[in-house]
Amino acid sequence: MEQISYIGESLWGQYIGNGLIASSLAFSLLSSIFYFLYFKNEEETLYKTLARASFRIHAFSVIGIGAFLIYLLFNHHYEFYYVWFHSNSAMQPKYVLSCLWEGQEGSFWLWAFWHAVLGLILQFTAKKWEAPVLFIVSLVQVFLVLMIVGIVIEPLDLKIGSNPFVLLREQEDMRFMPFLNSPDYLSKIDGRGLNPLLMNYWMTIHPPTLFLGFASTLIPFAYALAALMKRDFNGWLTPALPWAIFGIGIFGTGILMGGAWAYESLSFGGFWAWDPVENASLVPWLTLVAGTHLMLIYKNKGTSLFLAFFLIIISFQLVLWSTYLTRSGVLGETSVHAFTDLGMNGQLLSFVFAFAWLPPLLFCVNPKTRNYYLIISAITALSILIFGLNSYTFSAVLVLLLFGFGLSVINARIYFPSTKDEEEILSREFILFVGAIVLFIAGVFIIFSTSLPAFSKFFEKIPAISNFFKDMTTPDIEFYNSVSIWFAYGILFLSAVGQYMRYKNTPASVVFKQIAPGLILAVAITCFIGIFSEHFLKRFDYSFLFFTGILAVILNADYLRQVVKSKWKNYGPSVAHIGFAFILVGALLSAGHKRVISENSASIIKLDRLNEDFQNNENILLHKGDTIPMGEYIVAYQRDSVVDNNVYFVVDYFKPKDGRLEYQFELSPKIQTNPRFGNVAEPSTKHYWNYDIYTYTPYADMEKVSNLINPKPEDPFATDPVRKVGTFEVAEGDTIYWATAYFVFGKLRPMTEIDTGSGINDSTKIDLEALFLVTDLSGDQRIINPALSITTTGITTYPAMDQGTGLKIELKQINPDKRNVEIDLFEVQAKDSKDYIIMQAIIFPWINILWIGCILMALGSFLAMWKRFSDSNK
Amino acid sequence: MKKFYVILVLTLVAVGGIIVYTLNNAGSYASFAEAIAKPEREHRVSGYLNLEKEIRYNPQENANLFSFYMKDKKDGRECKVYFNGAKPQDFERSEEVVITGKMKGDAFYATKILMKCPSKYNDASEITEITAAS
Repeated sequence: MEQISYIGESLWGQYIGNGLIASSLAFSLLSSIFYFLYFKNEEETLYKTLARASFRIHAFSVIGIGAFLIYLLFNHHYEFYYVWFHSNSAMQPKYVLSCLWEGQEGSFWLWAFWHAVLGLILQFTAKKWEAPVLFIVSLVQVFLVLMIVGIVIEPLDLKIGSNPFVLLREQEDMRFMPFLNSPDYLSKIDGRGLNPLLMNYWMTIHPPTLFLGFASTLIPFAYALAALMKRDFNGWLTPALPWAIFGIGIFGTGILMGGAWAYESLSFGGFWAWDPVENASLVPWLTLVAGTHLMLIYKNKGTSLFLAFFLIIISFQLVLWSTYLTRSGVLGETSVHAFTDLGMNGQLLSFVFAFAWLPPLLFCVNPKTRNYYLIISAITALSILIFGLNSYTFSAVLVLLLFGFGLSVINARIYFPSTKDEEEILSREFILFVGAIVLFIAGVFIIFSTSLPAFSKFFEKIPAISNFFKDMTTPDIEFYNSVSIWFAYGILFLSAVGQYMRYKNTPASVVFKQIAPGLILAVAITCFIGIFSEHFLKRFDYSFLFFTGILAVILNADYLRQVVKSKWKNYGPSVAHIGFAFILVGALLSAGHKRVISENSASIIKLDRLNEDFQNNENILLHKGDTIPMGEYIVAYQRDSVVDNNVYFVVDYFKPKDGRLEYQFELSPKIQTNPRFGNVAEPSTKHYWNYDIYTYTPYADMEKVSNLINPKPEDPFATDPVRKVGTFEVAEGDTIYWATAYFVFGKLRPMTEIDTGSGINDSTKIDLEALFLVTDLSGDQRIINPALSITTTGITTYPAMDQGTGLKIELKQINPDKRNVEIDLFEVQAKDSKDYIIMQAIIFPWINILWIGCILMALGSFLAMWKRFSDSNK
Repeated sequence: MKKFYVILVLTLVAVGGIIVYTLNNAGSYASFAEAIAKPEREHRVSGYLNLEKEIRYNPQENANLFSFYMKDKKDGRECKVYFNGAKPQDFERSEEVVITGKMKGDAFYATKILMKCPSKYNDASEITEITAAS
């Protein structure tokens, strides 16, 4: 093939981009080496200088990659595949950040970026922990940057990472595109563009928050491993604690932001769907919360150190596992969020393995155990090298990790500082401990069920196991709800009473005296609502969850009142617990008591006759201009409004008052059309302080929608699609019965005076019209007059239509001998009859409690973080 | 440390119990043949939409009823499917459909549809879940 010299490409961009990637990779490697040497030789300032410089160069290279990608996106450098794929020229500049992290490469960059930023902060704050902590951070960065290098090692058929600076014409899927044969292709093309669905502020704020949450789990993890490296098993808790609490706050915010996004602009019909991607981010958060509480126990009481290590370490590992689950395509058919499978399955898995393997090695203080671990690791690694990663070697890795866990427990028992104290049940540490265990079990449940589809793939070569998991999918939403409600009871109850316990022992009578008023109040409120409200708390499980939630709110608020005189920094835990309880109570009241008001009562086909399981009447049919009752409202679908490729269906809401309709508000759920990304329904929600009315259109006639967006010029000769349904011969007085109406043929009469005197010549014209009385199903009567004119050259017919029923009659011919006429009956599919929408309207009561809870939890976490941060600096 | 061991045992029992419970409740894919054999149970069938046969959704008859013909992924058997809900947007574009429901007579009555469509967010396939929650 001849070499084409392309015009207008900025090939230097590739050198800059790849240069930055190469430097960030090289310097993360150097940084981990030098930090390790610096760790081994604390006195050597050269290592310290080199390590610090390497990490900074690495960090700024990572930042540079993002900055350069933004530059390329801004300037529409479509010679780069990533820019072409994720942006276009029509896009507003404010969405450039959304484009940056829309793709897989961009989101790995975002993750690495936060690690780099947090690493830079640690360089200044970690002090004596700097060397081992940044060693771990740098090591993680090596793996993460490898995700975006995009090196292909031909002889091994190995592809490492996916590069964001690949040229459009060199990208695998694009290489043979015909337009690449013209040297000036670049001046002719536009980008593919960002999915319009993602053009909103959520896409700008949700990913960075969530990825900062992911990144925040690395810091306590790095501190825990640093502690093992330094053999300083409890000194890490104080500096790591503010980071762990920071993680709880920011990670929790990131997850809930995802829920808010789903609720506001995706038509899932709620904010939490137990989707694998949601679950995969929830589980590390749960273990992080559990681990953080165990860190508190050890700091105050000196117990549960190993479990604190375990939970903090596993939180980061679960982040890696979640990344694997959601980005490798292994979950396949079960997720609403699907990511491009960039063929990095193996690479992602080795990332998971590496950081699952490392902690046990560091736990092995005893050289003998370390050697065992290393020998078995070597055998496992060798078997993977020889046989490749298959079900057997995968099982070997699992056995190795289990073995490593066992060795860790043994080593921890021997070398960890021990306490002989027995926990009292009525002590704060015991409550914290049980709470952490409950959170952990909840995490195991969610991650196990979410990972189910992956298991059969892992064990596909071992039929005994594979067949067991074969065809298994994740459980449904109802199952998740019914199981997790038990965890919610436990956590809420424990978080309610926990702070009333002192560390060590608290007499039962003291505790009871303090919590009794709150307990009585919570029972009273729950009973009151359950008995006197119309819709709420009609199920026992809901009532009990509400009780535990309201108890947590009351008792934590009461505790807050007691500490209110102390510094505001001490408010953190109570505020965060109140926030958490609000979140669950808000979720219970809104999602658990949501009411569909768009009940469809008028349907021709009765569903329950078809199948008794078909109870769903949630979609209502609204014709334009119709005014029909829906719930406590009277709604009218008034008009459509078009903005770009969005069609808004404007629906007005009224309430009857004094015999008149009083206008309340309008909602405009929309359909967004996009030939490339598909058509998407976006909800429209009316927010009141105590409830939301959430509406969306699950179905819209796309012909109508595209006509609205690209109006076709009105064709004056266009006729509505017509279907001939029958031919009849009728005499005067006859009746034609049809499904939607019946017609009585009145009479046939001449429209003009027929001049019989002059005889028949060329200008003779006879105009006749027929009278039909139409009676429709509602009994309304109308008269229509089909006509025809007869000349010597032929017959011209003038059909007439009944607007009410859409039926058309054409007078075909007169049969004077039979004394009747012949007519054709047509059914007209009028355009107007398609002018409807299908809408679903749901009331979410008290959903604001949920959002207030989110804010309180974040606020409380940051207060607690601040307190612990200033403690650790004392 | 006695209490610690009590909690450890309780934890292990809880974890074990939950795993068994989850395994018993996890959904599993079946074929139409299996669904016909056990009409009393709910099944999840995965397959392909038959575009040549009628895909019927007439909101003026009933906005909550939608029917189509689907070919089983496992053995290619075709079955008429009724879905209690609106027709999902872009249904004809689906590459693969997963339905949850029960068999009754000759037809499958689905209360949930998952469809896999070519790309909405990016080049990966996109899964949309439509549930008729009642």
